[in-house]
Amino acid sequence: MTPRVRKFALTTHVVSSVGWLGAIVAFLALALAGLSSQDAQMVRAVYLAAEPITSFVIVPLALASLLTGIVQAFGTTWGLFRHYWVVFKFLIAVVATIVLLMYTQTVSFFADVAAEPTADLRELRSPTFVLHSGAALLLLLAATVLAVYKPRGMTPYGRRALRSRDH
Amino acid sequence: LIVNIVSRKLGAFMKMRASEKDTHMVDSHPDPDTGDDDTGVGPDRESTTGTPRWVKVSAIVALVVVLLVVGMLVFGGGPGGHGPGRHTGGGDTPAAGGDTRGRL
Repeated sequence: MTPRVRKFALTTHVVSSVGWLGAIVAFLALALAGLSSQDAQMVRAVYLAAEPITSFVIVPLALASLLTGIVQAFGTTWGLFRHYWVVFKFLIAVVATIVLLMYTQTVSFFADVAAEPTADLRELRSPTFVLHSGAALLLLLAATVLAVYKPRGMTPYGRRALRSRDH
Repeated sequence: LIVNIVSRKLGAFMKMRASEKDTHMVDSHPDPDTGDDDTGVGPDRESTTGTPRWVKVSAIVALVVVLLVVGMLVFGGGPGGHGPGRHTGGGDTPAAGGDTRGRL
């Protein structure tokens, strides 16, 4: 990649990744409000808002982060499987995205329950949103730490690639 | 005396910076993320043998977490899976016959 393209790719990756992290923090705040609030209107609003936030913010940011991360890996000398920190970060993004895509069904289900005027809102009193967004937050924080510190360590594939390049 | 101490400290600091700069200048790979080689965190002077300790520790922690999550999913003691039916009907279900619609 040319330096200009590389900077652009890096910017999109940082924006989408940090945006994903921020969206998860906002979702966690909503989830905590939905779990702890005694106000039925508030609880309904939380679970209704969770669906568009997930579908139109969190999922696109997750996919963008994963895609731009792959572009970054293949477009630079880091590679995708040469350094352990890149591999870990990639696995974190893949696992988090897969669980997120599966979890959209749960979010939609809760939104449907909240939208039903005669629904029993006690059905919404589940810690699932807090648990999942909390776990996602930990994973994304770990990915951020890896991206910033870039701890040393080459995979066997990376070592082979380095040796073949040097010879 | 103060001027002497300050100038000596400054000299030592400048020497340290110069040696850091020399180290970075011999980096075999610039940091691809930034295109610079001044971060000191790129794949420079990296050991090419063995698996680092942080990788082993992280892999063990990840394995334990995965096993815990799988165990919770299999034995149903945890927050459940990711389908819509898995997250409801927990300990907060209303008593039979009780009308709790629309309230908490």
